[in-house]
Amino acid sequence: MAQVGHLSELHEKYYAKGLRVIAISDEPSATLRSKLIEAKSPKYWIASDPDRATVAGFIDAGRRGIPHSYIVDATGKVVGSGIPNDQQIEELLKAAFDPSLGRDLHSALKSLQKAYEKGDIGKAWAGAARYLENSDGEISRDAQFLREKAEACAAWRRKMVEGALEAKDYGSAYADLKMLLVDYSGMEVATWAAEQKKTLDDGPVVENELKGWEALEKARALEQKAEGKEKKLGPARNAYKTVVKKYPDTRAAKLAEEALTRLGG
Amino acid sequence: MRRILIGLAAAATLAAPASAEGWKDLTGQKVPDISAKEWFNAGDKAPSVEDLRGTVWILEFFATW
Repeated sequence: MAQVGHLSELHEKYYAKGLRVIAISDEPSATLRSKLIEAKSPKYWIASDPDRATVAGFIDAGRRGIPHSYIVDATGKVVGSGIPNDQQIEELLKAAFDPSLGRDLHSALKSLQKAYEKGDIGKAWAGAARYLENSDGEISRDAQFLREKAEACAAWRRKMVEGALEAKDYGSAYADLKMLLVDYSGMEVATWAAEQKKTLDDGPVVENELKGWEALEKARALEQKAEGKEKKLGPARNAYKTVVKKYPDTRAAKLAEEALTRLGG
Repeated sequence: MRRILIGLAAAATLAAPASAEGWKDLTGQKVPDISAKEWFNAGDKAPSVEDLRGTVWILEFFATW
């Protein structure tokens, strides 16, 4: 059990720098709980893997002695392994914290920035979290910046939706809420959007508004498909007319009327 | 870096006796996936290799006996 103290020491010393210490055993969780968690309350991560799912990837075959450690750098590559010995581990950690790794991390962050630009804000936001506690200051800053950008964007979107709800523009609010659920998934704003959407879904008052909006969207799609060609605009006009007739007194009907005026129908 | 490589070689030599038998070296390779039935101290979500990208980590196989 000497390794408990040794792992705790590593955890204490390097946690703030970003090191995560993971100890994994094939003993059942009850054993780990009574013999380790409750007895020594270590702070590092401990895993019970009675199916030996993890160890399978680390052994060839045959007997294996424990403890045995692997040190993994920030790019997910093993930098060394062996039987824990403080001095060797410290050496390996030095190698793992090597700033030259920054290049790979920069490219990983870049791919998150791309996700952000493509509108996958939640993914970029969650992914950037992994780089916040990095030994490379530039990477932490970039990650922080990406997170802040995503959060600012989420706040702005939320404000827009709140404005739409206040103006009883349920159709566009609903469309934006659906978008928030997907694009901002994992962020607080998505939870908020889910609640708001549920309120709208459950509220009979807005049902007509939403259906009207759906019909309006279809009419808009038809108009877009016509590409301004007079011959093809007929179906779009009819669709707009349906919105006006079927969903009177809704915002969608008002917009459909405007569209009809614009199209000269 | 050279000093570290020498250190690594020394570590491998020191680790050579019977107890290292069967373990893959894996140095320079992508770390295999990790999974477990239960985690302690790791938060709500079981951590994966992907989650740990961007972080240096040490994985120790151990037993309480």
